[in-house]
Amino acid sequence: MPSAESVFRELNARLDLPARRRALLLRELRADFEDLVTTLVAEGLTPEAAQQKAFRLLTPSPDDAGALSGLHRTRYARLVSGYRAARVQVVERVSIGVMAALAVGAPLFALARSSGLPVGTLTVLGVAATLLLANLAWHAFRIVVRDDADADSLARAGMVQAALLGLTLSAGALSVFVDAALTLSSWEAGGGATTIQVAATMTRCAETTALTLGLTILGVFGALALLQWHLSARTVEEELRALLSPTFDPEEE
Amino acid sequence: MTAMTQRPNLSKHVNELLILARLRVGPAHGYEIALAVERDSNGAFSFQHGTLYPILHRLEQERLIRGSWEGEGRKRKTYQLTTKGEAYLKGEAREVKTLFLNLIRVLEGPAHALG
Repeated sequence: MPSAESVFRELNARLDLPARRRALLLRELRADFEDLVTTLVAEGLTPEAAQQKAFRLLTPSPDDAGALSGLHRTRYARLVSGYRAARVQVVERVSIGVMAALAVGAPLFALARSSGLPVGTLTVLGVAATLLLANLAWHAFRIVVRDDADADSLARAGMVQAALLGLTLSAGALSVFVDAALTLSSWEAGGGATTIQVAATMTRCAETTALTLGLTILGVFGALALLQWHLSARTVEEELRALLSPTFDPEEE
Repeated sequence: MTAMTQRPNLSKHVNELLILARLRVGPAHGYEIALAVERDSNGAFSFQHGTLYPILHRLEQERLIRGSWEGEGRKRKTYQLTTKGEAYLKGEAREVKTLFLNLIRVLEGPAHALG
């Protein structure tokens, strides 16, 4: 007779579902299985006979595992099931990238026309903001719509977010420093920088700082969200491991 | 068109009704439903190899039953019949009864029916 662990491992492999949905199903089935064995043993069956009967009554066949997967697939997964997964993912990534670029590009374009910020600064900050937003939006999409984000990819996304945050801060600080240093050195040397030019530089520096701080808030918020999502996904993966472990304890949270 | 051709998968339908009938007694875990159906029918009906769960989860999606997680420590899922499920069970039980009475009448033949 196979062990409960091997039967549930096989079932886990057959369930074509995201980890969170598999964990929910296996939590129910494994607890029911253990409770039925306990009930049958209390009624006088040997542990082996009780386990055999529990296997017969409760563990789904390949067909039933397929039916369960079909029932618990997300609506979105059903919608795109007719297309190749790799192609769907390319379309999803491109769509999210374009939306992030538009969301960042439109206000930056307006800012470029109304303020005197250097094009180089705006471009670097715009690219960083687009990447920050796209990284966050892609993983939010995977969690909310696809429901298939795993702990490792969320951890990697968090690191990318932190790196982009660092890049944004560095680009903003560098832009302010270079702009201010060039104007001040010209002013000090009496090389033509007027008080009006110094005031304009200070305004640009203030705008760059405000923009950098805004992007930093977006980046920090994104990094915190990714950390929270990573911890939730890790909890689910730990539960799955516990449910499939030979030392599964039905009373342990 | 006969009732049988209207409902091609009769055994699946009967399984649904068996689950709903058990839940009419009160809330139960999945394994309690499987055990009760087998015992109450003297082994005539049994959920073999996990056929129970796809039916339970479909009934839950159709809101004929409601599943909730309960308990201390590791949670257990408990099911209970909804008002919609109770009404559905009443109607379907009547239909199945009529279907089987008609089937028995056919099997026993016209002479028996006349007699």
